[in-house]
Amino acid sequence: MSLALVLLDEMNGFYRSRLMTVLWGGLPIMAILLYFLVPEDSLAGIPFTIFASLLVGSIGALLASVMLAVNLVNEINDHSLELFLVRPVKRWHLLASKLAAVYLCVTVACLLALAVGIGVDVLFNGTSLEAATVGLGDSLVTTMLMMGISCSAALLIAIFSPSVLIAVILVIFGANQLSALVILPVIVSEFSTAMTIAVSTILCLVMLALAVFAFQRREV
Amino acid sequence: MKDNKPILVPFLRSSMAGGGVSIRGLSKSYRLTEVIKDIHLDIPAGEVFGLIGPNGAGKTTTLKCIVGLIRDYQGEILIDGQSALGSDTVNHIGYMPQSPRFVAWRNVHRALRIFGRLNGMDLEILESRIDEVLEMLDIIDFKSKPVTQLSGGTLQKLGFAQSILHSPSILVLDEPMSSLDPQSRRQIRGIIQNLRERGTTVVFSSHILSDVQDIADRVGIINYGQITHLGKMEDIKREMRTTRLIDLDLSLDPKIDLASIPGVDSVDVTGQTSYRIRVTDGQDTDVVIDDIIWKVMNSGGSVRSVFPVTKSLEDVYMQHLGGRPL
Repeated sequence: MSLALVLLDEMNGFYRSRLMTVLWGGLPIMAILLYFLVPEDSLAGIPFTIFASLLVGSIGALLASVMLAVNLVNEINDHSLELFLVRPVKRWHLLASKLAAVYLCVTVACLLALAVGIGVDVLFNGTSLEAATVGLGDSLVTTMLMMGISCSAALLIAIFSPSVLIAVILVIFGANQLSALVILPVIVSEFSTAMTIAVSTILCLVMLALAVFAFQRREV
Repeated sequence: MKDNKPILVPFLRSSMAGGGVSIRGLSKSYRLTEVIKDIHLDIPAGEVFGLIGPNGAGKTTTLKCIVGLIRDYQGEILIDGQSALGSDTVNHIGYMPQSPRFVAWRNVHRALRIFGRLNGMDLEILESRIDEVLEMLDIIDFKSKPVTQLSGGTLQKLGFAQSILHSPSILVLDEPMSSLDPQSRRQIRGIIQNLRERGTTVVFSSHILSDVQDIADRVGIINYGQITHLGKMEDIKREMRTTRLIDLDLSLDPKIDLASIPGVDSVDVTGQTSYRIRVTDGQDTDVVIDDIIWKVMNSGGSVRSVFPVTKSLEDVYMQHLGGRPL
């Protein structure tokens, strides 16, 4: 019961935040700009949709993890979280709801951007819808995994960070570098996509478990 | 003036009336610093208990331990006989932090609604209860205002509103009146008194001694993490009235040795013809005053004024701050 309530509440908060409005408009605009600004020959044969998907995904992962860390550190530091913790709410519910809310909101923004990218590719480039969506599934999985890793790491970082600034620095230079693990199959040929998914999922779960454990013990 | 009206605080759950707090050997350290040292305290159900002490004495830490925000401590805290660390007690407690803060996107109504829902309140009852509490605190006009646009005092009231929203049996308030104007303080005092009449246990910290004097049944003075004095407000008020000091002002000073009067411990000269006289422990101050007047008059002098110096709560507080822990 409390998980559903806090999740809806967090979704409401992120949905209403100005940053999310900017993101929902900004990422699709970026996808359109990419189409006009990136020369076709510079894509080296990569379909535009895949290129746009990876770029939007990495930006989405960065934004989601920073938003998550800033939100949690702020609520811990200004003690607004206290009013939730003195009620019958499990601490892990609070973490899970924040993670899910940010993840879902940024995913919607990324999907919107991709849909716009595909539309632009089909309309202006004359690419067929089939050709424009080749490999889209893989790149979506990549995007989801990148966001998952960076968000899990951001939660863990936020619990230990004394200030927003430190959290943001650690997220940008730690969590996001860690999320590059997802593109390992491209670099190391022996690393299959399935293995990457497995490793990334395990990494996410371990970081989330650590974050929950640390948050249970943390005084707020 | 709403604060003179009777304030209706309905209990939403029959099980909520009457919950006591029992603290056994509570200690809390941060690294090498021990901020709470072996506190033992029993607060019976329905009592209003005031915790006073200087900044950094351990008031907030003690309250946070009671509400379960601090869980890593030594000793035991029982809420109505059950461990405060258990999940069963949390719905019976209302807590107001020292400076209540709310997430920026919320308005007053949304802020209260989520807390009421988390406390398991039915949506229909919750909506009417929100209106009732906001009206009680005179902030109903702010219901749809974003919390970022509220003044410090209104935020304080909103913090109080969320603590009583679910009609808890135990109310823990950390400096509940610190940033309120006198009228609002009176309003909060009225609500606390009303809650006490309905059986709610209230534990609050404050540095506004007049508020403590007005609403507390019992007071604990905490200093350096230890309770140095614990007493009923009636006893403290009696202590305030009982004095060992007498202020004497003479219109005609016979220049006699006042210290030689039986029962006089010492005499300080405070002016040309005025004195502060300390009465010896165990002597009746009224009898000593009679003796002083008699001696002065018999020596050819005359008394302009003589009165026992009554203590303020601040005097009692200052006296017990340096006292030995209980």
